[in-house]
Amino acid sequence: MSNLLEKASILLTPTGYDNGSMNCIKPNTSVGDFDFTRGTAATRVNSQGTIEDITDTNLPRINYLGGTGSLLLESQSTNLITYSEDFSHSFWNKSNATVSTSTITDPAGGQNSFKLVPDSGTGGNRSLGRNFTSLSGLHTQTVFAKKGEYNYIMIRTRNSPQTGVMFDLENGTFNVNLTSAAFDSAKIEDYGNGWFRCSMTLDPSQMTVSGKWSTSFSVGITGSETNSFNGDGTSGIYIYGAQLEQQSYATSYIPTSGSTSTRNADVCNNAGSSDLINSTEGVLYAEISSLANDGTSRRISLSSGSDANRVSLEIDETSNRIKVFMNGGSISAAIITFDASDLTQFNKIAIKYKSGDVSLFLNGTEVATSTSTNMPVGLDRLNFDGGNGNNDYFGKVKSVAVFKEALTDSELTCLTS
Amino acid sequence: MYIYKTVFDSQIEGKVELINKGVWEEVTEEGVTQMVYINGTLAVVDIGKVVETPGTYGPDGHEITPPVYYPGWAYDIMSSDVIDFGANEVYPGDEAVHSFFGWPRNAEVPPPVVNSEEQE
Repeated sequence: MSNLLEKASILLTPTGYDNGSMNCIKPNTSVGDFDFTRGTAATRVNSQGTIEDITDTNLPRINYLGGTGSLLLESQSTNLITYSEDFSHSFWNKSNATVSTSTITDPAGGQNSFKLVPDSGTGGNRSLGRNFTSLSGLHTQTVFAKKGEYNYIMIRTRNSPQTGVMFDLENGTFNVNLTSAAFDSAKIEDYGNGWFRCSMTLDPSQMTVSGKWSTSFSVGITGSETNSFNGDGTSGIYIYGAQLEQQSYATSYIPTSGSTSTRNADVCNNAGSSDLINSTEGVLYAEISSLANDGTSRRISLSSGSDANRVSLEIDETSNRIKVFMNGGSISAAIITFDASDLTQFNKIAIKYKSGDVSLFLNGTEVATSTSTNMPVGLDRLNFDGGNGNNDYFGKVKSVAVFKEALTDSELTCLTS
Repeated sequence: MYIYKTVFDSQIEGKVELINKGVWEEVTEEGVTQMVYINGTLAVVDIGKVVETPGTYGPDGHEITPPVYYPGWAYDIMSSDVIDFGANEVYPGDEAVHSFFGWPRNAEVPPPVVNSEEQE
């Protein structure tokens, strides 16, 4: 494997970066480096496992959520909650529940979490919530939560139709206790130190009043509750960092204080040159993970600056589908389409391109071939997009490499194993 | 970097005017139509209607009094380009309902300075 990487003309692992640049290991000059722009701050999980603000507006993010570092490339997103951390603010409606500041360590390493305590009455909402109207498209509600005296938190709607997911903060699991046509999906992610990020995705157009989401967080005591959350007035759970965004999945946390806030898209392009990329044969390799099967097209490409001449790897609109494009002078359809098992996990993918000899390797196996002879010309850049500035690749990247020669099948098997 | 806060009569008028100003363009590729940023545009945020007076709601989320909105449809734009949005540009300052992460709420291109002769 080490010999194979020696053969690469461009190799991103990623480890080195500057404000405005994602640096490659090979070549050892700036010609191989990516230009990087975002224009806003952003957050990541650092190597210590805590959420960290990246205040340099064009600094790439190496994200360690899950333990291993990878380049995080995300789409633009806006947190519609204007007080994401101050649950005591009047922005939040408290219904037979109280919040109080806590001194336990929050996911960002501070002491800015709150304790959510349902009161001692019986029945009722006993929740913390907010009404949103005129929402269009899928929206995802998230909150960080840690068990206290109780082990459960429920994210739900208070308006009709009632929809709610109960998250188990002891075991890191969830159950859809109230389902409806508006429900799309849910997820729980372990952020360490007992904290979990809980999320529920909903289609507000399916609510009785279209576009309205009266969202709420309620404490679960048995985990089986749907509408009744009876507390004792002192026991509760801990919460931190709420987010509501127009996305089909949760993106990295965007803190707010007094207004909605937008994190711009990560744009990472223009690595390499014609000296480092061969138009007549070569290999494009990537070890990547999709953020979600979100119905969008995400591409990594070798191109001449347009999609008329390119070799590109596409994570397709269809869930877990890989497409390979090879165009020479005109735009044509994909020459390889392959359905993988799960592209939201890290996969090692390689495209070998040569006239009449194109193949796709996935995790050590040649899974598809093409005899296309429609070879591109003038390839001079490696982009995290389709080559034409569209279809940005959003996901996690552990490695990307370009080879100027078509590797042998045994080499490709080794590379992708 | 420039941050512009704009208000148009409607969402569609804003979308068209941002096309006319070279902020973005509508692209259809493989049957999918999307707005693509062009020139120096880093972001367009469709703010929508801005609430002047919040609505009030019951415990189950039912509306007691509806929210009252300012007129018009708002977009925030971040770009490296100098763009003249004319009367559509607004300057809410610290009252802005939206910010770009890491930038202050009042970060925006300041209004043009009117010289003393014009003032007279």
